[in-house]
Amino acid sequence: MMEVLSPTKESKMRDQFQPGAFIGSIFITSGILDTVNVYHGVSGCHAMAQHFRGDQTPNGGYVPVVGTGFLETEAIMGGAGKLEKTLRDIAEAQSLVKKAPQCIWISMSDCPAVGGEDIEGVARGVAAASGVKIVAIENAGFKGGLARGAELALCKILDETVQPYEGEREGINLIAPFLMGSANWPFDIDHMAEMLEAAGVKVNLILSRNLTFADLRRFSTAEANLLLSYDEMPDFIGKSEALGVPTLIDDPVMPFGVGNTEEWLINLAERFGDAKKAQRYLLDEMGQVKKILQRNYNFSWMASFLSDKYAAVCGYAPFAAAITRYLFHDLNIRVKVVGLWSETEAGVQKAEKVLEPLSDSLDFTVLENPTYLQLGEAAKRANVDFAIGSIQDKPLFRGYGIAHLNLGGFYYFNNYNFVPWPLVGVKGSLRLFSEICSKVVDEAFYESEAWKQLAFVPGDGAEV
Amino acid sequence: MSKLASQGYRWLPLKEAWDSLPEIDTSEFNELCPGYEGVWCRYLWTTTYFQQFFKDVVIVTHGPLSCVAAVKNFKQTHYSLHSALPFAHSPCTNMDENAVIMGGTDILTDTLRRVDQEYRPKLIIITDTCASYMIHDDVDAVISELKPEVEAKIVYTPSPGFAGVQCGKAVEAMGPLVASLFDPPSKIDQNGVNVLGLYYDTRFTEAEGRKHGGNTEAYVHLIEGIGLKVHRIMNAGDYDYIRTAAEARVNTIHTAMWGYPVAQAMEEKFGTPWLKRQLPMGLEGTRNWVMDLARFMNREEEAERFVKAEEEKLAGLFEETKKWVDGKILLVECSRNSQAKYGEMLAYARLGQELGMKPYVYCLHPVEFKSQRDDLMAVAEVEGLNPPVLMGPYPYHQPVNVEDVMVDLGVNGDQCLYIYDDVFPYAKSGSFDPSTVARYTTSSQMKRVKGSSFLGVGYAGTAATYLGMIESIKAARRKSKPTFFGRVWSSTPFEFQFADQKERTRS
Repeated sequence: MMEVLSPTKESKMRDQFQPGAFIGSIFITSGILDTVNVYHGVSGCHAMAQHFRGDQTPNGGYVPVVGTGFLETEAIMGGAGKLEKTLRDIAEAQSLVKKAPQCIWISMSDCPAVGGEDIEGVARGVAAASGVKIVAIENAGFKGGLARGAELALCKILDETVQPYEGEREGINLIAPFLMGSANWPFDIDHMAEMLEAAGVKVNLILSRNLTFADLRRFSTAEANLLLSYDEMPDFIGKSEALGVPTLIDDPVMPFGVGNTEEWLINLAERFGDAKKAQRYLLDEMGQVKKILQRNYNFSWMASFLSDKYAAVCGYAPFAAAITRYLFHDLNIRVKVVGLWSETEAGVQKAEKVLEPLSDSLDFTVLENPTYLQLGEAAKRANVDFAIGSIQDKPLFRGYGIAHLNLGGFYYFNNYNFVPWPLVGVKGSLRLFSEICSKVVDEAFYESEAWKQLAFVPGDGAEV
Repeated sequence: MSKLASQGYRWLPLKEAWDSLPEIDTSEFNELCPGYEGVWCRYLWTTTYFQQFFKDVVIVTHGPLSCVAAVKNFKQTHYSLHSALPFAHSPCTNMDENAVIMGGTDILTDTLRRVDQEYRPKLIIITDTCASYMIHDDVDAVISELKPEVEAKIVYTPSPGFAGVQCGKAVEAMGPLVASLFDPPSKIDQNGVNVLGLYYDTRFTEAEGRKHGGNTEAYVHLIEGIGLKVHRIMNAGDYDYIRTAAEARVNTIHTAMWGYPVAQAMEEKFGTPWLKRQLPMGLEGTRNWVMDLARFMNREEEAERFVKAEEEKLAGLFEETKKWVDGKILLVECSRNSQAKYGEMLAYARLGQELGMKPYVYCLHPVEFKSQRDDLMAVAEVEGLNPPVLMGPYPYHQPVNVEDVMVDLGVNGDQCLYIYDDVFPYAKSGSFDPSTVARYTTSSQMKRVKGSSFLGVGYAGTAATYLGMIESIKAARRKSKPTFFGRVWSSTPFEFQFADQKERTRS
């Protein structure tokens, strides 16, 4: 049975790890490689933007986030002058960049937003004088979280760069891959595109990953969007619809593990590609996996060892729901507690819809947007052996003596596997399983405290 | 003219360099160092600082969740993972656009009630953010309203992000706030010594299960070594530990930047005397720190015996290190933003000077340098250290290249020992790499040595630093097989390319 608890429903109080709207926007714009971000605001927010911008780097590119030097004086007197100077410097390639970018994106923090800074006006002025496209996004932290920030950037992109298309449409756009909630998202989205192509589904655009500014124009030639977030984005969906590109709203489970991958890929292949091709591809991939694992004593041991163990999962709703299903379906692990984080009610509800089929065969509790205290206490009560979450919650679970594996969140500080291998897909199962074996089994089941307490000492107690 | 000189950089003695700079956050400074904006903000510094208290203390943020994420982004990762700080529950009022327009006192009231009931802390510290501060939410009124019904003590620490992004400015403002958490002393422990000025560390020790020591062991060794007692190490501990801090006889200093403001506030509020010397590193630095304390506590004889015995243990290693560093200069690279107390890097400079090396300090961003006046006082006035510092524009926080620094100074790799702060060490196979130029890790983020403080304080820390320097110089003797890091950053990752490069240069 699936028990759903909503412990923070009556309050606005939250403590989940949820960077603000400007971070969501910068995740989108930093995948468009011939552009530059300008950040107008206080440096604490800028530091976070710079850190997370780095997610796009592995097998991707480097899009700078240039600060305008917004200090206390600008908070009081206004910072339009510094914004204008920074934009001019970049547009004229005077410093910081070697050549003028195709577009400059402006993001901002709370301080200039509350102060009513006219970033649109400054952008228009410099764009007119320099001829460089400048797009200002009103995306202060209080405007919402990552999903809202992504939506604000997506809307601007559609408004400013995409024209309606009248020809034959083909393929799908993959939208906002970092919102899946996987810390391995750069390699995951690259492999998701490979899987779709193998199943005859044309990937028209990944918005955004390794694009040029000119690529954005392709947006309107797609048949549909696949939004990789469960959160609502009504403004983006409406604008896209107006361009003739509908957005899939049935929100399939994310392809973590073999069971989820089969469901995800065949579903999309049936609608946009070739289901037979998808089946052949899956068989071929499974053949490769079998070559490694079949008759492998080590695998038999570990797969059997992990069976029936207790786990907790927490993270952004799409990731947490998919990993819960993966642990239960693929590894026969009993997930007892699931913490779902989402910016909108719809996000949690969609994840619960994905989890609902488990209700007959697994007894577990879903916590909607819990605080870390509520989540940790629930995991402790459930006596779980380990938790899967993100690096920010590792000290929480380890503090309860619960082993922890960080697979969710963002690449930055979460992901020390520098091998470009996905967690998604059939082949991703190899990495998922390796991560669990190497880290969870070590932490949760190796009796290392006993080794320390019971270690050999020479009979006289003196050092050797 | 060297490349650096042509870009407007010049070497000045530390004190002269500081005096040459204009006041921070002025148009004159903006011209001098374009694009400076700090790296953190006052909210981030304040919240992470108070999150060093643990167990029954909860920090509540009045602002958007994004601000809490900015704290967790670093505090819940590096600070917890590598410095023994536990998970910090950080409930937030989750301020949105509606609250920015309509006011957010209702959500603050609700959050404080819930925190009091659900977390049952002894102390709640409210930090606020740009948004909540700019709309003038009356936090004090909320606290007054709730006072009769909540169990916890609630303290408000104003911390809007924009109000002093320079680290020194933000930290200076925190001294009185920290002191306000302490109760007036009902008694004074005549042997009790506080250590102030720790940042992102706990008092948790290796003996208690920590993998790599913090600083506690070092101070316990120095203070107990002369027959005194460590009373409190700040910032650390639960509420009962914090509130009784003023019962110490004297405050000593770990780092000036974090310690001086609290010491000054405690002196004003409780009359607690304090000693100005910071960072006991190196034989002389440690001796001076211990003897200052001993003089104040009338324990000079014990201290002389203690220091002599400890110095004798290290005498051989000290002499050996001196031989290894003979003829070298010390390249002291501060982090490109110099956000977190350059005093640490200057303490290494002092240690190097004692070994016979001349230190050259660069990448000390002028704005941060100017904002951290307490570090200047500790280094220049208390210690009398006045090494050359490279002043210049550092536009948009861009660092200068160490290879350009070496050209400017007219030295080659064999004549240098390179130390760095923060997370941006320079390495490039083929020209500058730990395999060719001695590089020792002094960054407090990166340095971890079993059995020693990660800042290198105390005798164990000093020994670890000497040994580390010798090992670095030995490693650079190989002149081949560059590090992976150096190869990744270089256009000549393979050794066959070096030969080609030399050939091309010759022809």
